[in-house]
Amino acid sequence: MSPAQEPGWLLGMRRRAEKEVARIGLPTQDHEDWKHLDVRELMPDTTAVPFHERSALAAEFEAPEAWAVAVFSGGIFQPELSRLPEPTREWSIEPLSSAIDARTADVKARLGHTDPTDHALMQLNLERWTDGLFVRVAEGVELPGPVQILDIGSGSSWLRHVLMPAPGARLSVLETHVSSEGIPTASHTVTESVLPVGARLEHVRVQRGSAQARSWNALAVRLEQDSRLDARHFALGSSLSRCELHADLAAVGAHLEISGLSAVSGSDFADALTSVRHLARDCVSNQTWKSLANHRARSNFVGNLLVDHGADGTQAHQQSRNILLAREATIHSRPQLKIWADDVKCSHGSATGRLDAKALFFLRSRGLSEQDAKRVLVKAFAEEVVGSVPWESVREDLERLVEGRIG
Amino acid sequence: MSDVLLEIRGLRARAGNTEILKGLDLVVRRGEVHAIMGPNGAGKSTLSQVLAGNPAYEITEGSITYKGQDLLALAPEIRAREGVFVAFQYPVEIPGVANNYFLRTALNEHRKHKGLPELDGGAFLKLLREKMKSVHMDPSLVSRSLNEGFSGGQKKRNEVLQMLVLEPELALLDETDSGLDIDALRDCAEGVNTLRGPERGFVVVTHYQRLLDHIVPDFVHVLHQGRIVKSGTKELALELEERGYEWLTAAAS
Repeated sequence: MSPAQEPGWLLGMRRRAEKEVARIGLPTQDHEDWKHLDVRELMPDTTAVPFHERSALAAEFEAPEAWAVAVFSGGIFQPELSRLPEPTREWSIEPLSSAIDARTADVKARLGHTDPTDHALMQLNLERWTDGLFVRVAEGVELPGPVQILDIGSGSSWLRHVLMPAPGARLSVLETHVSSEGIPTASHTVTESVLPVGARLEHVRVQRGSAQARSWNALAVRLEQDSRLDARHFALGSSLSRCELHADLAAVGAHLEISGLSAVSGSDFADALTSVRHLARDCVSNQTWKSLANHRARSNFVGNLLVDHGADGTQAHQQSRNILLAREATIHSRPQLKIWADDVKCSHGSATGRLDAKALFFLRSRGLSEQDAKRVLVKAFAEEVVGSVPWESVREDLERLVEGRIG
Repeated sequence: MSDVLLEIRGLRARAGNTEILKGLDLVVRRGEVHAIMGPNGAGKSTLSQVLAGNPAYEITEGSITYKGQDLLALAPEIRAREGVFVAFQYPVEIPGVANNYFLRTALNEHRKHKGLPELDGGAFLKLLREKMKSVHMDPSLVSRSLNEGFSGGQKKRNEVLQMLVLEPELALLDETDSGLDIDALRDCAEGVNTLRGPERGFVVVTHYQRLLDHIVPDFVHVLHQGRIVKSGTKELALELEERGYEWLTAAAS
C-alpha cells in the first residue's frame, strides 16, 4: 500500500508525527538519554539486499519453534517468505498494512498509543513506518506457539509492530534482526503493546545484524492490572545498535521482567536504554543487564527508573553486570532512579570488571587453554540471560553468537 | 635418574614484594608419597600455586624439573595435560559453569594431548558416576555450577574427584584435610590411595598428622620460612604431632 492509498486518519497521523518531529527536533548529545550516541549515526547511506540473499537469510534464521513467521525486508512484508495462520475468532496475525483496512478500529485504537512523549525518533518512526506486524489475540486465549518477526536488513527501513492481546491473553514474540555481510543497512523498529488485565507477553529480541548494519529498536509497553511482560534483549550484532525499552506499570499488580545482554567486539557500539515507570501501587519490576566488550568496542546502558507519587508497595530492582575483555574496551553503566513514593523496595547495582583471574587460572590448571577458559567463563556470564530464553534453537544460536564475538 | 618425577632446586618465589620461598629443594620419585608440614605462613600454599603455574607468583631463582622438562617454561594448562594436578586449599566457585561440562572439557583436553580420542557425553558420564561413588559425592552435584554453594567437604571431595578423573602423574594436595569431618577426610584419603602406584608421585601438604594416618607417606618434610628445614620418614610426623614445630623452627631461624 503506498501512502496515497492510506486512509485519511492515517495520513493525518503521519502529518502530525512529522510536525512533532519538527517541534521536538532530533536529540543532540546534550540530551541525557543520548549522551553517548549521535542520533544521525543511525541514519547512514544504505543499500538494498538482493532477493536471493533475502530468501537465504529467511531460511537460515527462521526458528524451528516458531508457530508463525512474518518476514520483512526493507520495511516491506514478504508474503512468499512468511508463514502466517488464517485469522480466526481467537487470533489474527497479519501485516499492519492490511490490518489498517481489515481492523481499522483496532489499529486506530492502538497505533502510537504507548509512544513516550517528546521522543523524536518514535515520532519519526510513526511518520515513516511502511509496515509491520499486527497481532491480535482474543480474551483468555494463548497462542499455540511463538510468533517470529524476522526483519532482514535492506536499505533504510522503518517498521512498526503492534501487539494487541485482549484481557487474559498470552503470546510470545521473537524478533530477529539479521542482515547480509557487506551490505550497509539501517533499521528503525518500534514494537508497541498495551497489555490489558491479566495479559501476558513474552518478548525476545535478537539483534544480530552484520558488521555493516545499524539498528535502532524500541519496545514500548503499557502494563495494566495483573499483566506481565517478560522482555529479553540481545544486542549481538550490528556495528552500531541502540535498543530502548519503555514500560509503564500503569495499574496494580503489573509485573515486568527485563533482561538484556550485549556483546560487542571490534569497534562496535551497543547503546541501551530502559525507561521503567511505576505509576501504580504494588507493581514489580526486575531488570538485569549484562554487557561484554572486547577489543576497542563500546557498550552503554542507561537504566531510568521512576516510582511515581503514590506507587506504594513497589518492588523495583535493577542490576547491571559488565565485563571488559580488553584494555581498550569501554563500558558505561548509569542507573538513574527517581523515587517519589515512600513505601517501596528498590535496589540497584552496577559492577564492571574483568574476567575473574582466579577462575581463569583454576580452569587452566585443570588443562583448559587460556582461550577455552575465557570462553567457558564468558558463556557462564551470558548464561543467566541466554538460559532464560524458552526456545532451544534460539538459545543455541545465542551461545554461538556470544562465543563468536569473543574469540 | 629416570624415576625422578619432580626435582625442585633452590627455588625462590615471591608474591608482589614478599619473598615466600627462599631456596626450596625437593625431589619426588615415582611411587613416592611426600608429606610437607609446617606452621602457617611457611610457604606451603605458595609451593602449590607455583607448581600449578599461578601467574600471581614470580619465580626469582632456582629450577623445577618435571619428567626431565623445565616445568616453569610450561603454561598452566600444559603442566596439567602433562600430568601435574594440584588440589587447591580454597577451590574457586564458578557460577554458570556446570561441574560435569567443565570436567569433561578438561579430560578431553588431556586425552587430546595424549593422542587419545575424546570421550563422548555418555562414556564420560559413566566414568564420572563411578568416580563420584568412590568419593561418596552426592550425585545431584554433578550438573550443578562448579563448587557454587558447596559445603567445605563437598568442595574438597570435588577436588579429589577431579584428580580421580584426570589421573595425574604428580598430584599435590594442598591442605585437602583442612575443615573436613572424619568421613570426608577418609573419602579424600581413599581417593589418593586408589591412585597410588609405582608410576605416580604425591605431595601432600598438611598441618596435621591425622591425614597421614590415612595417607601413609614415605617421606615427611618440614617447611619453614620458605625452605625445607627437616626431612625424615613418617615417624617425623608423629614426632611433630607430639613436640610441635618450635624445636625445629627455633633452630632454623
